Amino acid sequence: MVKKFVFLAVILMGFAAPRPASAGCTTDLLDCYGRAAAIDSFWYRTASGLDCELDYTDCVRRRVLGR
Amino acid sequence: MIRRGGAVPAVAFVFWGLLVFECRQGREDVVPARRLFGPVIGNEVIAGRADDQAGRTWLLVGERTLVIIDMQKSSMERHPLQVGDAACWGLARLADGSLWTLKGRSTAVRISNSGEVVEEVALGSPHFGVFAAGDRLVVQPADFQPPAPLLFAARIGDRARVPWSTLRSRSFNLARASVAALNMLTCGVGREERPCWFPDEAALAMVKADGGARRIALEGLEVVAPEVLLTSDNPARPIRDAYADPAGTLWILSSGRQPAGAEDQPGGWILARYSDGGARLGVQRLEQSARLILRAGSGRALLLTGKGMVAEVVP
Repeated sequence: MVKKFVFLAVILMGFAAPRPASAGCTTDLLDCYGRAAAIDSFWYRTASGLDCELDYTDCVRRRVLGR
Repeated sequence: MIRRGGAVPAVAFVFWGLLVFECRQGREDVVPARRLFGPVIGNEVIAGRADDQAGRTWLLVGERTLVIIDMQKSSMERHPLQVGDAACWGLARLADGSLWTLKGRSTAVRISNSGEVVEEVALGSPHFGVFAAGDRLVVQPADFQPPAPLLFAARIGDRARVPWSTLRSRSFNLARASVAALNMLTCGVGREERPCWFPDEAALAMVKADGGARRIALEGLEVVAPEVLLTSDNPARPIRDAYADPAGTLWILSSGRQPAGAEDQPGGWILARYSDGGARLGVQRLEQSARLILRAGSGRALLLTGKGMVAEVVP
């Protein structure tokens, strides 16, 4: 009985929660990190990682600051 | 073995809870909006706004277009920015009337009312935002290591810039990029003090012309966890826009919840008012979503609705 109630509550909470990002900013960041990690040069790899983070903040800015 | 309860009481309990929730939602006053003119914009993201005292508002929309709304004449103009493929963010109008935006991440550009680039200033490093403080341009550098001063000010042509305001970036137990995103600042409209806010907080920093800031916590606005804010397609934001009217009343546009069956529109559904000290004066649901508070005062507000119309509300 308790299990059923918890399961039902979880399902209902799922409907009320905001939609997760689909191919969103976080996914793009992880993909970008993955590409950066494959770069051999330490400095280029580090710079690419920073660019990934700046791309991420651009993306999030549109969603959470854009009006 | 004796089993207690069962599925029927559990389901009844859940539906009773939902009924109570819906009734609570239904108790909110709904504020009707009277359309004045428009549409003045489409579904483009509003990336910046600036205002003057004569009833004009400049909007940077879609990161490449300048829209000028004249409330006195009930008119609008639309001009593409002459910035090539670059995206722009933020709009700052200095005391001399000059209009500035951030082109890309590292260049401040002065633009004319018809969208031409008049002047470019290299900032030398990536930045998140640009604001105005009298005759000085205030910028927010992209800083990934809080706590640190958030804003810096300089006069145009003066290479030396100084920390401006007492606002500092905040630390979170999250990844570097997420922390930087949560520390990005947005500002609304005010006269003596300008309301500014972080995306995850139901609180304003009222910033004076000299940069001094006081914090006002706003009760009754829905707040989501930073992780949810950063990973949602259309995150609920406690503050979408803020306007401090000449009498000191703080008008807040908040996301709230889209009513069941309502047309999918950008913008927030809650219009709240607070005293200068942060006492809640009213929290009401809008008949249609709104994206900006264009003007407010004397008990009424002009809003830019989710459909791009300029409309008046009297809460």
